[in-house]
Amino acid sequence: MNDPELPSRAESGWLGPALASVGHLLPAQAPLEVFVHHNTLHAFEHLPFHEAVQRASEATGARGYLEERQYLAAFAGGRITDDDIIAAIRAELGVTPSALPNSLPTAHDLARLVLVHGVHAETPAGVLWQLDEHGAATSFVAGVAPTSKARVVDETWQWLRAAADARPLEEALALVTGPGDARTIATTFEERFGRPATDAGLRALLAAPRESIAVAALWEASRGVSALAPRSRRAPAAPAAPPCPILPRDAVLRVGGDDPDDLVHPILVGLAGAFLDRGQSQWSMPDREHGFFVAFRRVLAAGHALRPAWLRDLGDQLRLWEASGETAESAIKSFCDELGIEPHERESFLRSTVLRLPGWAGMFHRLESSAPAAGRSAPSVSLVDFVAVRLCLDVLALTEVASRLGHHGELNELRAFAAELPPVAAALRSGEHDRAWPLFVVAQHAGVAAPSLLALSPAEIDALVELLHALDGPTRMRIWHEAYERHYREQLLTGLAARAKSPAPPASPRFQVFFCIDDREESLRRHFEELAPEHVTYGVPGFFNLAIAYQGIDDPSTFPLCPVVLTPQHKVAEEVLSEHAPVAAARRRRLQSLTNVSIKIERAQNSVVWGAIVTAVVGFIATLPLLAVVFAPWVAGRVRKKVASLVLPAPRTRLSGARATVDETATITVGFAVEEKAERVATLLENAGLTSGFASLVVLLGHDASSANNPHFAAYSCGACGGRSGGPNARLFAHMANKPEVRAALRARGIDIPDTTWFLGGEHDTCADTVRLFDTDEVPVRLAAELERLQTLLDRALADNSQERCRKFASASATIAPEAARRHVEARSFDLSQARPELGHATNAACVVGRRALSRDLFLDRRAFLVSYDPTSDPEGRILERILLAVGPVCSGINLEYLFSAVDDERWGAGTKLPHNVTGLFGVMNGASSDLRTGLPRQMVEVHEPIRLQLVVEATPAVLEAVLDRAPTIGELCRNQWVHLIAIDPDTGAVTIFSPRSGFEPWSPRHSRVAEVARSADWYRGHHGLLAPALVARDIAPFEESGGVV
Amino acid sequence: MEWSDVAIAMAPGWPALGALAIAALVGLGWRPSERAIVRLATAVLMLSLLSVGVGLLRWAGALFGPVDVRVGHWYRAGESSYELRFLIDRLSAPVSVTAAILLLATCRFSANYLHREPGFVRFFSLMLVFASGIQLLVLGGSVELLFAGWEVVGMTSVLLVAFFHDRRGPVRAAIRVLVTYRLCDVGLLLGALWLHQAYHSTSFVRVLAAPAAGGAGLVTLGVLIAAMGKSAQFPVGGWLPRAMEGPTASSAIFYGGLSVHAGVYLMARIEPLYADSPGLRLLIVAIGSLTAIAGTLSAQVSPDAKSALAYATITQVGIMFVECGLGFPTLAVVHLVAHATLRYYQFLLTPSVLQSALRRRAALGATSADERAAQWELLGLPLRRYLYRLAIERFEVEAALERWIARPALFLSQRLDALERSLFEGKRRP
Repeated sequence: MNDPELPSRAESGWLGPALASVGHLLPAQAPLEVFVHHNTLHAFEHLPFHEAVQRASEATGARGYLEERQYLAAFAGGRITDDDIIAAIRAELGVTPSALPNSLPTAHDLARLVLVHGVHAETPAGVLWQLDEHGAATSFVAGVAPTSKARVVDETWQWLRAAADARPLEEALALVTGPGDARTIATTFEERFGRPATDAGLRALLAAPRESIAVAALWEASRGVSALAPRSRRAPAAPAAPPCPILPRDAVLRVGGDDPDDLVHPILVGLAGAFLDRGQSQWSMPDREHGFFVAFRRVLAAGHALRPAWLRDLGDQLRLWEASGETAESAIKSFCDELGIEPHERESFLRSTVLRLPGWAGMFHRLESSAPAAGRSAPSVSLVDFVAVRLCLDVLALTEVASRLGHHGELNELRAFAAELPPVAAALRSGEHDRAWPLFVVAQHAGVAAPSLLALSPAEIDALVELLHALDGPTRMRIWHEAYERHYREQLLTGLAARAKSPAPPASPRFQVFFCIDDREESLRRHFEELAPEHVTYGVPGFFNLAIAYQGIDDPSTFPLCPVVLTPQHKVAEEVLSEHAPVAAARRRRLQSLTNVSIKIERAQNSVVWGAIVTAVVGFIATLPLLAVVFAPWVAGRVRKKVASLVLPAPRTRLSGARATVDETATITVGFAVEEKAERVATLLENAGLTSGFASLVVLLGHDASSANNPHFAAYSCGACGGRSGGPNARLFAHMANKPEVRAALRARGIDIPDTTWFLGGEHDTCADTVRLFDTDEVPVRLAAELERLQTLLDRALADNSQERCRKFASASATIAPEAARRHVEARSFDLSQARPELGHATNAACVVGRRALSRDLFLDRRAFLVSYDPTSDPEGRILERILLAVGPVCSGINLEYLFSAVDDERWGAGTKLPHNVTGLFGVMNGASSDLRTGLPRQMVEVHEPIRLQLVVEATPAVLEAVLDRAPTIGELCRNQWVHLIAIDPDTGAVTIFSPRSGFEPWSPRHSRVAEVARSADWYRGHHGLLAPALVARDIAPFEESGGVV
Repeated sequence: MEWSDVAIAMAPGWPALGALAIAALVGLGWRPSERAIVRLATAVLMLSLLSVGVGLLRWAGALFGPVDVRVGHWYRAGESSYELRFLIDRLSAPVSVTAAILLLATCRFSANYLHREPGFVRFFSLMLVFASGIQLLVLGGSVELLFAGWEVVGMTSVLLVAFFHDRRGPVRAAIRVLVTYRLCDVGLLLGALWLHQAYHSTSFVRVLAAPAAGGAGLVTLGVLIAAMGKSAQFPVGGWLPRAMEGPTASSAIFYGGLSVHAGVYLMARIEPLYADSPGLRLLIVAIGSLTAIAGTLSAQVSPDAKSALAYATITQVGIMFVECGLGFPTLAVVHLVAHATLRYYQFLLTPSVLQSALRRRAALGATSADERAAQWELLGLPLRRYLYRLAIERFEVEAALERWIARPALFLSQRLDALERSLFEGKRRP
């Protein structure tokens, strides 16, 4: 090993910055219990979307868009239309005319042909395969239109007949066999056409128009002209120089050596999991409070060890380090020297080192800066320790695989040694496969025959070849993606424009219900409003503008209920009413003893001494619940709930947190002072545009999601509450807004809430579709009937909502009745075998910020986040700025995480859930020693359409431009196209689409017809797939309890 | 031959027919819906359960004495013949009925769990093949039938570990499982041969009732090796954590429920063969105890839910070996049935560990790891580190096997290969 003292002082400081910069590339996913959606490519947000996708794909090897076959299937199924493709091509290629001659189709038409027929560069072997196995030199490729075929065949026929008359035989033959000596030409001719290479043979072949000879002529012409294109501009499809240097492991793999990671990972993953463990194992790793590197060296050096051959020197090295007190930093540096990593390679070396287990490295990086889990021995986590341990094992494994290749010397000579060996795969060079082949195929589709190709001037050929090069894989996928998005945007905007033209007439409200902006609440709001015109709903972020640290009666400590970017300043606890204190005490006692018993039993099951008896007894008893939960999940779930409510009685509680004065000094204060309460309440009401005309019951519904057997449960809950329930926030808000002193303060701000109005908090379970209302005992007696009515209406809306959700479930009947649907979704929330308790945010695609009139009675298929905002009271856009700052990052975070997990679920998502194995209570692995799987599992994203968020705002372009300038986070999201910003003018209803290059561009619907139906159910019933927006007609009778909706 | 004989023989027969039907129809180009597959699988598993029920009735009718069911010959040539005979007694009856019920549960569970998975049909076909194999193994009245079932169980186990065969990890793990099974199964094959040699019969009814013959010890040793492999006993249990690569439902039925207990069943079945040999009994007790101790320590340090549960399971399986060695085969089978059900259930619940840990933390304000970890602090730090390292390195059995078994074998075979080449190479190539 080289002397670690050797590098100069200035040089030795490189490690920290280098690690910091590679740390950004790692997944930033927190432990699963606090799963919060975020942009998978957060490290690239400063770049325009497509550029970021390309850079990230290069860094991680993941796919950035769907696969070509998926887009082609979408095109075949009408999900992408010709209009969409043409528009996307126009945007990509620009509208300037190219140097193509008039004899050829236009560049746009050629690009369209390239896209819809998937014309792409082949590999050299691929071309041979096509020619030999598919007879591509003498027959058209699949999918060529008959008219194009006829044109190519006829034109070539006439041209060849003339050539046969005018030219010597050999020259004429060469037109369909390619140039060469007489013998080659003759054999090729005979092979291709099965006729002798004589004048008679040629004439016989030309007796009638023939496909074989026309295609052969075209192939030879394509080969000929593409070889003529100036060499300097013949850029190969892939960049010639690899973007990063060849590192030792790559050098070994390139020459077919064994992968050192196969040796390293099983050991490293086991140790890393045990080190980070947050309470899964019963015996945590000794010494982990000193960090991973120290724990590794102390634990693994303990006692005499029997190890595989490649690890035989490990113990000695660890003991040496222990004696010298080696630090992780200096170990990393000496490993770099040992491997012969040059200073300029260090960063890419570190990057490739951490990105080989991005999930684990990311978890070390993430936990470095966050509080440890509850427990007695907490690890001290740092990424540098992980890298040091990993390199220690890497070096030993490299030594082993190098010796298998025959290299027994120093590792810093390994790369030089490997460079001498023949590589497994030869480097790709540009050739016929990526020049002539695409030209040949596109000419067939375009109906361009050999003579037309040969007639082109060198400049024209050049332009043509250039165009085909420009349409390489990433570019084609980019265009497809844009077309895919555009199709939905057109549908959405057509629906919204129709609604904007004839907004739903206002009615005097009877119930006003606030929901979370969540896309899953869209349908429930719609169904509730469909019941009667005087039902009015609002959408606000589900923490109801109350960033609190909350502690419920069963919670061991407080946890934040607010978006992760905020830190709560106020503590709120659920407190038991004094008359219910005995109930609460009993509950607590029973909960503890039940838990203690269950822990004892579980431990006994694993112990040698008690195990036999306990497992035998518990095993026989467990048969009953096992059979029940598997064969009758709904019944089992219901019984379980019933038993739980009997054993664990729920005491009556209130939220605490009244405080007299504002205290600026404390970092976290208990509750809110009156002025703080008034401020919070006023802000929310102003944001939503509800400052007058209050109904007698105003309800706020937070949301949560119940599910069983689901490690990703937090991903289904409220994103605005840090992956937890927004119920307490709603309850607290109602509590505040009912306080007379708060209302007095609100009056001073111009918000006059009449004394007849009562606020009520509640919680919607988005999986089981139930609503629980809080503190209904406090509702004034005069509103008792209204409350009862509200509950009936909510039940009805929930049943309709379940029915709409069920249409996307294969296990529910397509014609399921609302009540049966409710039972179905409830069963899903209990069912252990259900890998999809609900579909979460899948299919989310849009966010509409504006008055409800813009989206009311518009069927948006649970695809849109709906944010209430009244532009009429906000000429400057100050409220809008506040709203966009809150909802922009949250909604785009959800949208982009779904997008990337859906396009490449193996790399950016977590893959299928089935082999997931919960590890250390912080993540999931496949099996027992894989990388940590970050992102979303396939079961969450399989029905998702990966499209960027269409952020539709009811505001003038001028106001929006000002907001983009004032709020840089929003400006970045929109200008870099991470979301598509669309403005709908509040007065005129004119729609404009924001483009970073040219600002807001006017949009008008291509066809203005939007389907109209009496009820949502008429539109969705019997359909499984996604549906376009439709207007729900308003002339419906209000809901009656006896007969339901007519 | 009565109708009930045939019914009993169909306990392994129905699932096999189901799997064959699926294979044949898919081979003919049928693209079955998930619903059709689930219905077919449920139907044949129900029929299999009914067949087992008929067996139970016969067994009850015989006042819970052994019922020897002979349904003809499997193969006959000259003097040697292989009879198709099934045995229902206090060992096979409870295990068989447990297997049939757990398989039905797996079928029901997987219908939802594997929805839209590309390998849906494959999973259900393999599960039916496995159902057939395990019933053959349990109900088989002769060593040959048991061996056939044993192999079927092993192969389906391997194929389900490699269920995600487009990923590298599962395929490598499956190969590792396959190698262990193959090597250990040589023991069962040799044991069966010796049995035939020593008793001139392979029927359990006849062999186990016969007076002890000379080869009993050798038979036991051979069978023990096979049982150790399948039940992941010390020191050949290194494959167990790797087998967690399959879908959770198959981990549950194989490594929580049935397959991992097959070794215990086998040892209980041949218990009369070694009942009189203190040395063999000591060996079995020793293997079981070592497994139990190593298993419980490994379970305690495992940071992932499935490995922890797999090692906890192995701990109890080790104890069942001890029970067999101490001469309580019936107790071992009772233990087996209860334990298989429990672990099966717990495997199905492994995705819930985070939710239940959070609930516990809420109730107690601490992690359940706290107290347990504290008890180890009574040991001095160096000893604690040493034990911890042993546990997390799985007692180094892998390295030991590699050093003392795999590498010498490899070395030997390379030498033999070289010898062969040097002897014959010259002649082959002129």
